Amino acid sequence: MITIIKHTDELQQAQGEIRAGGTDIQARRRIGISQGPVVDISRLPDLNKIAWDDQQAATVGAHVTIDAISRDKEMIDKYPGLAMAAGALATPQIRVMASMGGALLQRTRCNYFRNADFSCFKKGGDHCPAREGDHRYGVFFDLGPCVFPHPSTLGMVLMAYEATVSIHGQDKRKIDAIYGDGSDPSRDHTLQPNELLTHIHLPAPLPEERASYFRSIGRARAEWPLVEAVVRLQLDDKETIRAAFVAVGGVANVPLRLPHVEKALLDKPATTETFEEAARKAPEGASPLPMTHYKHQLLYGTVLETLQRAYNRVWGGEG
Amino acid sequence: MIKTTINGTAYEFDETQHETAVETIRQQCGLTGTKKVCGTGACGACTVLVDGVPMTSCVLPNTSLEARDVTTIEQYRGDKLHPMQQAFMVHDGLQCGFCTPGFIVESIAFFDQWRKEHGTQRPSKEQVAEALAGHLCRCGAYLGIYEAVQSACAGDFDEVQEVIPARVDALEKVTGEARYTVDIQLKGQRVGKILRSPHAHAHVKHLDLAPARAIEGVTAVIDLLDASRKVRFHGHEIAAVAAIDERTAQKALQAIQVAYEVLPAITSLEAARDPHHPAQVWPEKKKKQVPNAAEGLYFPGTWDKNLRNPKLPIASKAPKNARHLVERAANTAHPHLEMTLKNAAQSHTCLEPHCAVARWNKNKDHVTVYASTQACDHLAHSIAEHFHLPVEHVTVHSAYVGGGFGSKLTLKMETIAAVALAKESGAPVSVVLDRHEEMMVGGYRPAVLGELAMSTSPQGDLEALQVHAYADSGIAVNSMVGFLIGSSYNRPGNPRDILDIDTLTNTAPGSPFRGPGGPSAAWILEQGVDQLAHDLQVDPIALRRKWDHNPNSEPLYKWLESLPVWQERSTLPSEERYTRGLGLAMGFWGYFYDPKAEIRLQASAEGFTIRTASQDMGNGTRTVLAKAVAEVFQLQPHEVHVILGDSREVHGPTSGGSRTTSSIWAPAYQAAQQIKAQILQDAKRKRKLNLHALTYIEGGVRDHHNSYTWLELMGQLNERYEAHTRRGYDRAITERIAYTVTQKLGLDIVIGQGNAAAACLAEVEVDKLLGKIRIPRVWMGFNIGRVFVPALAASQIYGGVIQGIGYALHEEKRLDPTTGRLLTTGLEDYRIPGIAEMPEIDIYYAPDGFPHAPGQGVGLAEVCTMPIAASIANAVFHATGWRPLESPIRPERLVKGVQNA
Repeated sequence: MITIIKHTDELQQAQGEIRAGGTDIQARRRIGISQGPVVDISRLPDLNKIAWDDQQAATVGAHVTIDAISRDKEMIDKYPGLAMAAGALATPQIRVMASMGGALLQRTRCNYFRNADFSCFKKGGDHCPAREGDHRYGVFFDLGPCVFPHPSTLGMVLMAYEATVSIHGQDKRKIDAIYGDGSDPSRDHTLQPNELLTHIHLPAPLPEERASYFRSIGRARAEWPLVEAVVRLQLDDKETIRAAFVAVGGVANVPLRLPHVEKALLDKPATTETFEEAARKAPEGASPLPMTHYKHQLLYGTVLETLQRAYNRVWGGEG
Repeated sequence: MIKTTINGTAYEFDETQHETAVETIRQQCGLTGTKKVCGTGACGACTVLVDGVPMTSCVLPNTSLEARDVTTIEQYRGDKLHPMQQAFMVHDGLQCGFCTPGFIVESIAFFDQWRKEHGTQRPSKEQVAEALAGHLCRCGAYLGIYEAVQSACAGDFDEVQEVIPARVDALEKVTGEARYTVDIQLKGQRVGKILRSPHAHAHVKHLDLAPARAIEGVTAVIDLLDASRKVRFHGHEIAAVAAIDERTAQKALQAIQVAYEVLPAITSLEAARDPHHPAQVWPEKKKKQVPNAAEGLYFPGTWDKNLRNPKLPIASKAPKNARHLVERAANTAHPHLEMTLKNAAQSHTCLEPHCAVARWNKNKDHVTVYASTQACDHLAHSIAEHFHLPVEHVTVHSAYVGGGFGSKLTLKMETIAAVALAKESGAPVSVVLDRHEEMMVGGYRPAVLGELAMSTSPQGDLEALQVHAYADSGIAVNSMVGFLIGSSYNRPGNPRDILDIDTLTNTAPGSPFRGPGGPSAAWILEQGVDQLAHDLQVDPIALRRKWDHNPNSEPLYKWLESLPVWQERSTLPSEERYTRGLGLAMGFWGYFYDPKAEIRLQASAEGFTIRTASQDMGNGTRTVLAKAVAEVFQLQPHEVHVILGDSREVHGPTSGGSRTTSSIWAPAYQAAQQIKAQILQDAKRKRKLNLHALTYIEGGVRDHHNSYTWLELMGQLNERYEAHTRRGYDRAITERIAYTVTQKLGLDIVIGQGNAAAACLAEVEVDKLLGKIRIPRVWMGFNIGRVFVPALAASQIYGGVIQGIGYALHEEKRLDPTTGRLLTTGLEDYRIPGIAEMPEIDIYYAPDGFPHAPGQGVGLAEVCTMPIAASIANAVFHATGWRPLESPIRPERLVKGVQNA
């Protein structure tokens, strides 16, 4: 049963899992992981715009596609880390269909979850089969019972941009709040079934800031990241780092900011030595699983690579 | 109801029948050019344009088509092809053709955008790879695709009216007109589905099909278990249902009641080696129903619980002496080596899944089966045998096959189920595996563990070779890995202790995969040879040359030595983060043919038609046949009409064991020559043409006065010609005896004289920090004799290379260690190479390799993939100083390995 709603007020009456672009939910429905009714929100009006306020801060509607973010000239100029990440994830066809809202609220890509032959916390079960089984693509920071990394690249990027989101009929929330601390293994986000994410608000970029996004993968393209990172840096005239934002994905069941890495960058000269020293701190506090020790080096390497790319304003996102 | 426009035509459809656009487009609108493969938006086969923008229709809600302008491949048919389609045809940007509509549609959108922004500037490979990052081609036609997209964008086809395609069935493939088995929609066709075991090992105590039968719309329910009532792997077929639609069939599956007694299960190679493990995969005394994972040969062997030890003629000799020599070497300062190497299992994952559609006649004594098979003729015989029918009462059609790679050689459960369900339904039934099922039971190259020991004499001769290969083909046996290793560097007097142990596990059966055993054999042995060359500080070519007994390798060593890149290679691995390396590996493959392969060629004023009950799964059978005729008559191959994929035609070869070309070229050529001679005789007799005065011109002849095309000449003679030829034996007596043996095993195959040889030199770039490997270029040398259709031979090689790269770097079939259930259920988790993985490939063919073979050439599909992964491993060692013992060399392995080295 699929209900198409054309006005946000209809949401309260409609029962079912929300579908926007459909790229995640239809893949899950095909294999029987999502079976119940669906509420299609793709025809809700006014959600597919990027608006700018006089401070040059963007508000992005939930229906804006990932592709649109990656190509929008203003977004590329003001939020290069976000635009770069949008252009590096999934495939071109998925990016034109998938919405920003869906990108933030997609379900985990764990291959135990996306497999009707296994039960797990996220399917009403009482254990994590990946923890006992094959978790080579699992977390490096073990924050809760579920051990698969959070799927949202853009959620991770928005952490570094300190974005907020609007939920229909409610106050704005910080992006961190929709992901929680990873302790609840049954969820990929904290929204309730009838809560609708409508907008993403990005604070105005810092003057002269530079940013980059990079993901570490096995193939050349089109692969879920083993580790990914986004970095924003603001340098003064003497190339001293005056602001630093570093977030990483592929390593925990929620997107992570790395404040200790940021601290290691602040007020330091923007040199290779600084970047290496800061990147070396990235794995600090990790709690690897038996099969994820390799992410130690990948996390260090990915953060280092992203720092250097941000500093050099290198465009491009996969490697 | 949803209203939409597809290819300019208004459509109205009931959106509740299906949820996603691909089903609506294919089934409700009947536009089957668009293909469904992965179901998760990963492979791009289902790409359509929505308001001009490419989208994967398998995850696109069909309600999103409302009031949109949709374009599918069917838009690009008719008199004038799009330049992009012409470019794909000319540059052979396709093989089996199943992914082609998706690639074409996407490339046309790219073309339009590119022209707007860049005019006729040529896009870079990087730009093409970026645009096509959402498409996968299992055959590996990527180099042709690059060239096609670049040249079409550059305007090379703007003014072109007609093109000469590289393969004769390219037009059907670039227009989506080629009808594959999944596209067959017969009147009243039912949907068949299979119930599979959730357990890795269980005894089915009770199976109640009645609740499924009771559901309205269910037309048949059948039991698929054998007399043992056992399921031996997760996914094992238990029962099947047919129903009026997919939903009813699913409901029926859920209604079936099964009571299991769960048995202990073995789910890994290591566990199978444990003699105390409580599980036994095949406790039966007679092991007749144990499946064979190899393509042809089957060596009888002894069983020890879950291990099977086949006797290996020739490959293992003087094993005691070999053991003694390697032990002595280990205890002394003798040059020797011991290594344990591993390969992960590699899934075929053909883009067209295993599928069949069956229809019985009214009397239920004749069945017609549409099947995705690489053995059209053989399959008809197998169906006849299985269902106790005379073979004349079985017809198999396989006009187009969306990839096979060895996995579609035999009668499998989807076909058995379709035939049985159709009989009970009294209506046609299709059984099409979904991607999860395809990944589960569609076949794989076994996981292998090889314990290698070698010792050399002080003179650098191979003194002794010891290989204990353990292969996990699930419930199947016969990996051939040990046998192939034992058959390498096998000079007279070389003692060798070779074991080729099958480790039986409660996992789905492996099946032959392009060069069965070959890539693993090379992975183990060629890394050993490379390591010894390094340890002994001798040139790896010189060492191989000294040991190699295959005379066909020698020209390849000469060629390798002549390559500047080899001459200029560095000797020491670099300490930098990014390093480069070169690696070499050799391969060989038997020369196989089907002596009974037949050809029927007809010629008249209407044209040339050639037929045989073989098939084309992208390997180029159609083109080889057409070329043989075209060569005799100086025509263009696409002017010859080829009929394949119909078991009622004269006996045609199975496409496996690199035997197709070696079986059909010679009889096709001979048939053409016979007809040509007849035409000329008739022309002399009836038209009084002076044969001595005739000269051959393109597509015809010319005498003093006139020129005639062959068609005109036949028209004027008012004659129709027919020739019927058979391949026959190269060497009558010995091969005839061999054939009687292989035929007993159900194989129409003979081993000819001499081995095909291949050499691969791979260049790698390694990022040691992030564990990433890129392969910019490979050089491939072959000694296979004559190359009949060079453009398609190159395409075959590209496919062999990219599948080898997948094996070396990316592909790994993974199971949950506790339950034995599949984890790599789709193309997101099971990672086959994309277009950006494709290296530049240089090809060299040594001349004169097979003068004794009719046509002077042999097949190359297997030999071209055998050495790839090993050469990459050797290149990684050269680049990093770390030897990758385990494949695939994914980042996690490389990072760990280099760290510890």
